[in-house]
Amino acid sequence: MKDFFGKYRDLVGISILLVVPLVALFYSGRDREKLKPLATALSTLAVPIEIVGDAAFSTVADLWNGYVDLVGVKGESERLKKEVEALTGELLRLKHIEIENRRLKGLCEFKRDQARFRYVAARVIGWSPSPSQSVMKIVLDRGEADGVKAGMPVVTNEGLVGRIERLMGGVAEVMLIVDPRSRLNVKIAEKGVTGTLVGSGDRDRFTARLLHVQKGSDVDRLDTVVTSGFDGLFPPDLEVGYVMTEATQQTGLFYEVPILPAVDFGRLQEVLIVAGTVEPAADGKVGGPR
Amino acid sequence: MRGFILWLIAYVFTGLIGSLTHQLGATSFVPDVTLAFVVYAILNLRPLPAALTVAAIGLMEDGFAGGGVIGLHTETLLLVFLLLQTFLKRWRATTSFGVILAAEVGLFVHDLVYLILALLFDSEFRGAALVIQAVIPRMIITLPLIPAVLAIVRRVDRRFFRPEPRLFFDG
Repeated sequence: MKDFFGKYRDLVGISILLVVPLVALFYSGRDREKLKPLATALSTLAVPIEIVGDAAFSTVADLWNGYVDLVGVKGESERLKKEVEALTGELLRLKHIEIENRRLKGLCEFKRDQARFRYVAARVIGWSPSPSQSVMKIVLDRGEADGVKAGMPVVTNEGLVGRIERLMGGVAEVMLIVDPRSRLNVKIAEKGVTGTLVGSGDRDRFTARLLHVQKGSDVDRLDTVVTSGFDGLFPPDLEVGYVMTEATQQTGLFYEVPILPAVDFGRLQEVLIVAGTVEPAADGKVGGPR
Repeated sequence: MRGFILWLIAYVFTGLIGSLTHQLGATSFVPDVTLAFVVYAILNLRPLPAALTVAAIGLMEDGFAGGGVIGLHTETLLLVFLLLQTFLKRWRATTSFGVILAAEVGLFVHDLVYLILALLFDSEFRGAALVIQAVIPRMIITLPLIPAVLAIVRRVDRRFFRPEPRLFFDG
């Protein structure tokens, strides 16, 4: 018997190994409850490695997801940064347009209110070159071809800017009223006090001086100064500036009054060149240019 | 003892692969590397210890399967073991390619035998179509894992037992 078992040990052993699970399969296949304790024990056997595997791969997955999220966040951050840059640019552009629109609207309103004149709209394309120079002039993008002539007044909706000094091809140089060479006859609106407005040449302040104001004249702070029209250079009643202070400085027989121009020269972008007057038609309406 | 170590590696691999596929959400086609262990056992152990190791691996698979029907995986693996033993002895498939091919064929046979046994003995079995659909994908998914599993098993086996270089993957 011992020899037999020794001779056929493998065969017997493997046969038993084949039969035992077959029997188990036979019974548990028909009714799973029959071998439930064994099934539970086998399932429990799988638990430790499943816990270890789950913990390991969860950690790896978390790290990976974190990395992917980080990459995503970085990409998102870059995208948002570009978007912010683009939107900031767009915002600045829109603000610029809004400011320009406001300025142009002001000019249009001025043009409508002052319909007695014929205008040529122009854009400021240059300033007098050196801050050390007392000459104060701007360059406009309009020239002779646009009907612009030397001496023509230049205005904005805020007031008088200056006059065309020189024409050079397609551009025109304007002498500002704050230029020390500038002379124009003005008056204090509704008071009849007249004088000569001379630019102070002070670049930082853009101010002017009202000269030849007779002693005892009624001049108050914030009085409006307008062109008198007496000099034949500028049409009458164009706003020029305001009296800065009541305190007047005496020069000989006359007083000198500091004037703050109505125009903010620091922000000058578009102007109107007064190219002539418009004659009223027979029916009282505005007619053609003179 | 060699059989136990083999079983232990199979246990770790099966558990980790199950967890990995679960994490990846690829539970439809889980690779089955147990056939690599079966082939290794056939080629490196004597028949009875090899059969015992295979039976233990089968029982472990029954446990991983949820312990529903006891013996289904064990019986399937033992039958495939017998078939592969015959095949490997007859064809002397001891090269790397031969061993991988044997494991792949074994996997195919395993799924068919499993299906037959489940249909015969498991009264609640309803997944025949799923098993058939998964046969080829499982073979494909398992293919790249077999050389890796065999290499690891061989390395561990050599480290612990220093067996004679009887078989494949020498060098």
